[in-house]
Amino acid sequence: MDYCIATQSPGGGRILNYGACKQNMLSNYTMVCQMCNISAVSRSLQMDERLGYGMLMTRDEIRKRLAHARVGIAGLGGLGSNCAAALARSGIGSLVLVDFDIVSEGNLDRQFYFRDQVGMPKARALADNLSRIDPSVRLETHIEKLDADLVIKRFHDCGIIVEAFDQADAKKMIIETVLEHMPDTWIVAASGLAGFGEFESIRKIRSGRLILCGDGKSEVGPDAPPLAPRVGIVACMEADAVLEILLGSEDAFVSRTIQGGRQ
Amino acid sequence: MKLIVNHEETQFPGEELTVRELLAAKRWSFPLIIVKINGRLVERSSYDTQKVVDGDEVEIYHLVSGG
Repeated sequence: MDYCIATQSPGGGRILNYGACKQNMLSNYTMVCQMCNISAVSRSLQMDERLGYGMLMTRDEIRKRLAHARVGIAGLGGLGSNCAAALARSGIGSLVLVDFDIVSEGNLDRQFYFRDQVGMPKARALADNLSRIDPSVRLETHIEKLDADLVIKRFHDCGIIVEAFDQADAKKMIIETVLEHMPDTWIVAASGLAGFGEFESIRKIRSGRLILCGDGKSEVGPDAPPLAPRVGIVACMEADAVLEILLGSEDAFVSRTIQGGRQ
Repeated sequence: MKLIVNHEETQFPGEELTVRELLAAKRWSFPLIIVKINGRLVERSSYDTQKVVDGDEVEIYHLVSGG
């Protein structure tokens, strides 16, 4: 059964237009009302008793809300640089950018850098690029390799951390650090994005304060390089998950979970 | 016993399993995973001692490199 996200009432098709919403919740909107079971955003809205977020927010309302958010990006490669760009464009107020590496020519096939930035620290190059998109986004940069202690130190005042590392052991480190030691912080992570095609196998899994994007299996290797489209898809899924957390609840910073309050 | 593994009900012989035994039973040999039992993270050092029993909800996520 499909439900209208605005009224929770059953609907007949995949999309209801506003005229079909029984309580006329969408009367001021010309957009269609999307079914709850299509996207993660609408599913979380279905659980949110306070209606009026997400699909029902204007661009100004969304930007006003995001302007107060501070998000950490751990790793500024294909995932982190593209995720940060999507967040900056969306209007996130403040980003903490951390990476130890410099831009290399080989990065230009998928990462949000330019040829004249080869040799620059990624944190600095990305800050330049994001400022060109939106000079008002507040940026804190650190050129260093993150370990568990530094994760806590650098991101202690971020409501959400985006895991955008390359290596699986580093992914495990930051996920476990956040879940164990940062009880009020969300971790949005990625696993499985190599190669091309099979878009339908890419999905988002939620478990308490952990959101995991990717197909969960395709590992980068000599025969499965990371390519711009799939890396970009997962990077933008991570950015979308951040928006979902920030826009789906007033209490995103007090460890409210999307999955019905489970830790 | 019945466990819920990654949101799917699954039957296992016996009354209890360690996390390590559960991984072996599922033939999951991934080196880097996140394990949660009833929503709580299980540290890698506890995989041999942490038990799962009937009704437990287990989540196991596989981490692969790339980013």
